[in-house]
Amino acid sequence: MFKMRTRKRIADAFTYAALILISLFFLLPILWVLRTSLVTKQIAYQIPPDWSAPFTLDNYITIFSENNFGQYFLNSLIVSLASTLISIALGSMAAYWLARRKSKGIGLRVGVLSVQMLPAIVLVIPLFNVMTNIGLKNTHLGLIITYLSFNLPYVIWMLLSFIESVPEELDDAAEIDGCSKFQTYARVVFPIIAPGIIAAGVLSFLNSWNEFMFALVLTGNETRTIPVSVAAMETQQGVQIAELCASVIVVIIPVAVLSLFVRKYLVRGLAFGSIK
Amino acid sequence: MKSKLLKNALAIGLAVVMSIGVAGCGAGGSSVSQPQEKVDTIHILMEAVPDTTYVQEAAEKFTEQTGVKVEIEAVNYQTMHEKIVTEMTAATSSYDVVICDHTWIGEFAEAGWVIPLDDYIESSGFDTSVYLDSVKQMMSCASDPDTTYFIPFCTYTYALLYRTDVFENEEYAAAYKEATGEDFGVPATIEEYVNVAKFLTSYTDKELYGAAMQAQRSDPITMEYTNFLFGNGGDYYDESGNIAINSPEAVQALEYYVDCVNNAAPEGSAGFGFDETLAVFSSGKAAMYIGNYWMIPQLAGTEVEGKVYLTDAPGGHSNNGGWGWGIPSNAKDKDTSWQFIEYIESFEVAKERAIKGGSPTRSDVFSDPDVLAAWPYYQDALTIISNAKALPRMPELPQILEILGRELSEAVAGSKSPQDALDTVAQEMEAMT
Amino acid sequence: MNKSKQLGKRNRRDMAILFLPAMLCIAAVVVFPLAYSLILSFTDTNLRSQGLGDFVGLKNYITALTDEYFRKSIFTTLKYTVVSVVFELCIGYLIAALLNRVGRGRELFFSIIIVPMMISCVAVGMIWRLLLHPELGIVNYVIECLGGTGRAWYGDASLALGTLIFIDVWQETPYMSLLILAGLVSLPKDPYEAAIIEGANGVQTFFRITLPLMKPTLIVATLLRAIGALKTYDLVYVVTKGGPGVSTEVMTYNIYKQAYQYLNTGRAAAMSYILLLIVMAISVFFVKMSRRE
Repeated sequence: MFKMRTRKRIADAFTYAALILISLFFLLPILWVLRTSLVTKQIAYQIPPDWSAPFTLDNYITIFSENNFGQYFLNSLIVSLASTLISIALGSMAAYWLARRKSKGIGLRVGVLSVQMLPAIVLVIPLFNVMTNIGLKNTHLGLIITYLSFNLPYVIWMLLSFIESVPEELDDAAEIDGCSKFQTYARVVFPIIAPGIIAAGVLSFLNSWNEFMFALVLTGNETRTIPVSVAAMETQQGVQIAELCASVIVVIIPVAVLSLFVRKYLVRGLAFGSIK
Repeated sequence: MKSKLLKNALAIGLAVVMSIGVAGCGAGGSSVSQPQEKVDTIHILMEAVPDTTYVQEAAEKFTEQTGVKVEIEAVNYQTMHEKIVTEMTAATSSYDVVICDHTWIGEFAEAGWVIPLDDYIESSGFDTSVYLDSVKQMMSCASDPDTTYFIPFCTYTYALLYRTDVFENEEYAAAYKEATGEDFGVPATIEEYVNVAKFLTSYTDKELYGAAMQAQRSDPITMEYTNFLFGNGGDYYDESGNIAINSPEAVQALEYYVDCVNNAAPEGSAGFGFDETLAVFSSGKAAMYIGNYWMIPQLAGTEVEGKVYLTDAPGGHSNNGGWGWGIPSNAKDKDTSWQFIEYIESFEVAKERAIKGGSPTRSDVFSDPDVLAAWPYYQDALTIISNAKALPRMPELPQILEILGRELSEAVAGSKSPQDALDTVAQEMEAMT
Repeated sequence: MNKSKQLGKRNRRDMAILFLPAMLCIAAVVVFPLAYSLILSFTDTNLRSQGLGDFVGLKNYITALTDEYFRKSIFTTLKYTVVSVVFELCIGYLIAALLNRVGRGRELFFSIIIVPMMISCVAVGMIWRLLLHPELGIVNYVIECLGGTGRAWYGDASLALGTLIFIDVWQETPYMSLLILAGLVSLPKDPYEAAIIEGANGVQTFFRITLPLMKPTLIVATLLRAIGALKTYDLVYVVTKGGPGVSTEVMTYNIYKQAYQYLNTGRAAAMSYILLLIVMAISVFFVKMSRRE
């Protein structure tokens, strides 16, 4: 018994050491970004680094005062949230339908999936025409609808495996109790797959949050999203790398806080899900 | 049964969507001659650079005078083309005025995306004779040199930027003399440029690179190589219009170029864009850089402030880049668009922009005492710009540059010989035009 | 008999209600552009001239497939996808397993590790260009301080693709670990208890119990990531522009050039369909695999 405990301790030590190393791999570049966001461009490009360089918040002030970053942030938030919520609502139902079909039609699955793998280039020009024509160019709604093109299939796909792991007997039981398919879905299946839904939601939110190509052609000054504004910092007269780093930091902080919160849900939800 | 339902659903969906979409394409395809409506805001797509800020500032006065607001959307250079192209093919454009890079001139003009400005120029009495001759080339396209499509906005002509302290250094001069038997000085030909650059790099053991170079594929490498090409007596087409990109001069220019990137410039220059190169140069790690002439003020506050001056690019003819104002064919209110262009390029406004540090295109602005007092080096810049050559302004130029960029990059990476690379470019140009 | 038939009918109607809204949305945003592109791919449409071009049959497909550079880009794309997904899968699994093991500090590690996911690809590309600058980047500086020699990373034709894969791994591995962690956490406990009683060692448990149970999750995660990697565009565009030479030219970049630089939308559409076929083939393979008992 004693031997086992020592072995567990050693394993724990290794686990933590490995996790710290891995975290550093992901964190160090971010710390360098943070540092760059606090100095001028000249110092950012200085090697060996000038560690004594004074920190300044100028870059942050610039992005909010000159680049209208607050507005872009809000735009990104509106578009990503709305598109994700719609995708979750519609996509989870569709996933349920797909998962419960008698024939597990591969064709249909691949069909749905193939939608997600379309390169944006294929869709951009026709969608641009449609959006211009129905007056949705340079609107939040236009971008929200466009983002469904990848979010919906994505959510459907993510949730398929979650739903398949919910035993069908639960459905049958509900139906014997007189539930319609929709009620079964809403009352029985949806709560069970909630953790999956949160995960899929977070991921599709991030997909939209980082989308660039559609946002580039479909937005104007008022509806511009963060990736487009970040890309605009690369000009023919150089990259405004310090401002860019500042905006990256501004983006990371709220989402990182959100992720702490979401993570709790994920764990709680998954524990609930594993009752099966 | 299920599949029937699915089919029905699909059919309905398709029908709805198609009707919207097809209408979209139809409208996009028709050439419109709608009655002009008045707009109260001018939308412009520009790059996020200082010149844009100056335009924004000048536009405020325009708004005071006319009541028309000006809204500038600033995006990234690389994505500007995509965004503009998408807009130009639509029924109506979001933009009332566009600025067009010199490499897009032929494409925009011949696709009919911008309108001829001659009527406006005539009726408003706008004087276009003030523009420098080398800048005038940017006003029309190759196939139709008598029609004006663009009003010059700024140039980014290439010049040889060099470190004055390096070329005054007696140690280098003596060592160079001993090694080559020639006098050490600012190079006047491409060959000298490569020799001096290689010498400095090896003599200082890479403490100081002879040349900072931007050999990243596509835009940076083609623009830089074009300086080598022009400087070495080559060109894209010869005088009778035959493809000359694989001529002996051009091939030799590429040999020099490859040699210089691989043996004189910092390792990894094959991946450097503008920003990395400027960073190398402004941190004092390179002696020379064939860069844009307006860079000198931008070096203020860096390691090399006050130590850099400019002269003609080696060989005497550099690549003359620049931007011009145009009016999209699908703009809503072209009269107001012209009103804005006329205002922003008037002498007073252009002069004010130049004093702030913008790049002038008018000879009267260049020779204006106030402007020269603010930027004494404009005197020399003027000669450089006057000697610069423009790229062929044909509709296929963006594609030609793309192919050229790929092949140049192949040559720099060593996967093709300069001759093979340029032969491929010539073949593809042949097939295209 | 009659009753069950009625029930079946009701079921079908109910099911339709579930699936139709999503289907309609997909049709609206995808089917039309897709159909439009299919038509385009058989024409010589060019953005410089208005409207649709002439019907040219399979010419665009043939030109694309006989184009040496396009063929090369197919291989580059596949290489990029396979290598980056394999790395992401292995490292992602490792991270997920480690996270699953620890009790305290899990939230903190988790939050740190998923940060790269939140940065848009465009910004990630520019940040890494700063970090990997051969002369003025911190990475080479640190390597040299540790006694190594810095490399040219994205400026060296033999390293550039590897550099892109590295950046991709940095950004996308967190995504992989997230999916895998979700799978690991919900693994049932019973089989493991049984294994301990039987005296199986760690390796045996992993291959006999964990891996089979994790198979569906791993397949989905791999597939989603593979599709992402096949579609990679932003990163190439920001970091290398397909260079040096054509060493990092992936299919999407090639297609994009065809559409926006050459303005040959017809040919670009044909090339997109070739990409689509490749991705579909891979997907069918994965889906078949996941269906296999």
